[in-house]
Amino acid sequence: MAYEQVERRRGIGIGEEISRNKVLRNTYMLLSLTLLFSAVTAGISMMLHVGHFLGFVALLGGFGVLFAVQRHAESSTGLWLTFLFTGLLGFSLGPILNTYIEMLSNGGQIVMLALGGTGAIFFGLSGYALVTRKDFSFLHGFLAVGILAAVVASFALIFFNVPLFSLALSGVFVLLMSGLILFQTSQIIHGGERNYILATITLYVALYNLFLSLLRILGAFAGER
Amino acid sequence: MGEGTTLWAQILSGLAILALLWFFGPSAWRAAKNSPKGTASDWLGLLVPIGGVVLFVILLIALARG
Repeated sequence: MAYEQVERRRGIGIGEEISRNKVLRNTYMLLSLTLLFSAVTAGISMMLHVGHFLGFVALLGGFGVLFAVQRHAESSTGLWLTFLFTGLLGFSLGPILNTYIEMLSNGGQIVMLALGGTGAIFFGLSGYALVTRKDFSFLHGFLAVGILAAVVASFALIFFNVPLFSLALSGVFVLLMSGLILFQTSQIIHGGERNYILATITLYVALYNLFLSLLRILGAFAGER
Repeated sequence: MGEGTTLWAQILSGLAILALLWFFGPSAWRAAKNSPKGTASDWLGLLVPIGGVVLFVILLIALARG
């Protein structure tokens, strides 16, 4: 049976399918550019040996920009704000990466493994959602509440220094961010997300948290002092 | 971080928690109430990719330990 007939049976026109593919393509394009940009800002903050407090301020600044991105997601301003957001989050990674590299004898290896692991998980999960075309929209409510609770808990960790809880929270983040990648990719291919700026921001946040969580887990289980 | 900067970090974290709950709390709650509910098979279908991620992380830890 011709592709067009199959899609008509599913109630999806060719135009609609092209539009969804365009959102997917633009999202991956913008995601690649923002990842490169945040790698540059992370490199700059590493070279300047920026302190943890300034990194933390950059992270909070990124959260502030996130509100602005949501307001301007339909305009070109949203595009520049996306780069500002990812640049600030990249900058906040510098002091964390320096700590791992300086404190652990195998710190460089841990960072590279976390980076490679993040990439592999992202490609694996995106590929799974794209190939199976499963609808993961049922995850929306669970992810919204789960991620909010996990982010609030991670900010609360600064008041209570409990290493075991921090490690458990990293495990929870890995699972939640994996769910977020599946959900967002499925939203794009099923037409639930038509704005590539918002889709990029969601996937970037998932990758950022996934990387940090893998870094913490690998550092705890395999870090050598 | 020094004692002074730790205090500032705690103050900023407290404010960030309040801002997150204020801005995202209501929409997260609405999403939880109104989003489509998954069937048992939907949740079972999620086990395959999530289980794969868990196994992969265990493999990464083994690799890092060498």
